[in-house]
Amino acid sequence: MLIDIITSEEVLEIALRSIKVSGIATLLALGYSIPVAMAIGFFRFPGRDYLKSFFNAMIGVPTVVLGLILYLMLAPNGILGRLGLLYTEMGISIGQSLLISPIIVSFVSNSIEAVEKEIRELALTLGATDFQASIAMIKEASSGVLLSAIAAFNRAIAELGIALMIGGNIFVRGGQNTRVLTTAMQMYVSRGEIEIAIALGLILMAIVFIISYLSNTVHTYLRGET
Amino acid sequence: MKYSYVVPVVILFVLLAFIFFPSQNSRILTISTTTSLYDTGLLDVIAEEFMKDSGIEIHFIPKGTGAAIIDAKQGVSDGLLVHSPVLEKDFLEEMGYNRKVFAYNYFVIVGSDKKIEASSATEFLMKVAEYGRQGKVVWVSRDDKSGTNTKEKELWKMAGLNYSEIKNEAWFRSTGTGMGKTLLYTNNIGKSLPAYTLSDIGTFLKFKKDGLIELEIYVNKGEELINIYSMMGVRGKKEELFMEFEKWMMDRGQKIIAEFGDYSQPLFYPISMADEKTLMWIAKYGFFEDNRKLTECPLEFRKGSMGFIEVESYAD
Repeated sequence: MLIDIITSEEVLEIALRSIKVSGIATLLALGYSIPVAMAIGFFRFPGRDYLKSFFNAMIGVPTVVLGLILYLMLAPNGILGRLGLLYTEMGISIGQSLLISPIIVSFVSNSIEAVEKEIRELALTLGATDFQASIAMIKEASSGVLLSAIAAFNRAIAELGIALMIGGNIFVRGGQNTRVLTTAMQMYVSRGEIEIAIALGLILMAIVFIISYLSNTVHTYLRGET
Repeated sequence: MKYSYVVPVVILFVLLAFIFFPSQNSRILTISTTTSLYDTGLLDVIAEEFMKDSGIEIHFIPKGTGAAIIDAKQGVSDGLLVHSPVLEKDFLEEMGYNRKVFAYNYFVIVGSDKKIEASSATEFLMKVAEYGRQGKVVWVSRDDKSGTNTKEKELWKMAGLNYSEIKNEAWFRSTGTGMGKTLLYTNNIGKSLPAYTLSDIGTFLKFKKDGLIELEIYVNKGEELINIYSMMGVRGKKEELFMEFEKWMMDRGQKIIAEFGDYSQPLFYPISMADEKTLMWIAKYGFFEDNRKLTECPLEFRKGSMGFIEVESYAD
C-alpha cells in the first residue's frame, strides 16, 4: 500500500519538483548570499555589526510572514505583479531563496572570519595578491559554504508557508504545476487522506536524511584533505 | 585552475535563463475556489476533463470563500467558484460578471450525541444555545468567513441569536480552520461532551466513509440549509476563456457533477436537475433582485451569449 503510493507517478513528480524548486532556491541564494557573506567576513565597515545581527535574526523568520509579504508583492496588483511569478515554480524558488539566504550569509561569514587571519597573512607572505588571498580563504572556508548550502536546502524543502502562498499547490495532469511535498501533505491531511500524507512525509524525511548524510561525508573528506 | 570557477557560473546562468523563460501556455485560467468543493476532489476531475475537451488548463486555488474574493481583488484570479451569495453580491457589483449557479446541495448539522431533538435547523440551534449555557453541550464553529461560516451566521440570526455575542460564550468553540479539521475537532471533543457543528455534506460524507469521524447527521432538511455553488468571472481578466469554461460547466460539467462521488448519496446536485420547488429555494436564498425579478445575475453584469435563470419575485 505505502510502496504503491510512493512509487506512483504523481508522487514521484511531486517529489522531484520539491527537489528542483528548493535546489534552484539554494543555487539562487548561494549566488547572492556568498558575496554578501564575503563582504561581512572580509571588511570592517560601519554598520557591519548591525548587518550581521540582522541576518542572524532573519534566520528564524516565520515562513508565513515572508509568504504573506511576497504574496502581496507578487500578486498582479502588487508592486512586483508584472513579473507574473505568483503561482509559479520560479515564484516559490525566489521566495525560498530569500528565506534561506540569511542562513548562508551567517554560516559563510562566520567560517570566513574563523580562517581569515592566519590564511590571509600566510598567503600574502607567500607573495599572493589581495585577490588571490581572498580566493585562498574562500577555498579554506568551502566546508562552511557546503554546510550552509545543505542547511539552507533542508530548510527550503521542508517549509510550507511560502510554497503554499506563492505556489498555490496547483496540480493538473500535464500542466504547469506547483504542488510540492509539503503542500501536498497539507492538502491530503485536510482531505482526510492520511496514508498518502504519511507516505509523502516519509519521502521528505528520506530526502533530508540522504542530503545530510552525503554532506557529512563530503565534509569529512574536505576536512581530511586540508 | 584559473578557469575552474567559470564553468559552474556559466552553467548556472544558462540554467537560470531556462527557468526564467519557460514555455508559457497562455491558455491558463486561474480560479480561486472554496475548500469544500476542492477537498472532495470534484475540481480535480473537472480540471482534467475540461483540459481534454478544450486544451485550457485550469489552476484551482483552494481558499475559503472570503479569501477567494480577496485573491480576486488582488488581481490573481480570472474567476471564482464559491458558495456565499451574500459575499458574492458585493463582489459581483464591484468587479464580477456572469454569475451562474452551477450546483447545490444541503448543509447538515452533525454531532456526536443525540442529546437534542429538533425539527428544523433554527430550532436545533436555539436548543444548542440553551443547553450550551447549562454546560451540557458545545457548538463548534469554523469562524473563518467561509461560505459555510456565512451560512452558520445566517442560521444563528434566524434562530434569534447574535453571532458576535455568543461567540464569546464558553460553549461556543471557534476553530478558524477548514471543514475537515473542524469535523475532526468536533469528533474529538464529542467524546467527552456532546458537540455539534455545521458542515457541508461533501466533506462530512467523505470523512465519515473513511472512518475518520463517528459523528451523525441530526438535521438535514429544510430550505434554510440549502448550499448554493456559483461561479463568476472577474471583469477584465481572460474573459473569453472563462466564458468558455462557464458554458462547458453548464453543459458537460453538469453530468460530471451529477456522477461525482462514490457515497451513500450524491455529494452535489447539478442545477440542471433542480425541480420547481428546489429552484424556488435557490432563488430565495441565492438569487439577487433585479427589476422585480429574482435572477442569478442582474442584467448589467451579464456578458456574452449565456442564458440566465430568472424567476418572478414573489411576495411571501
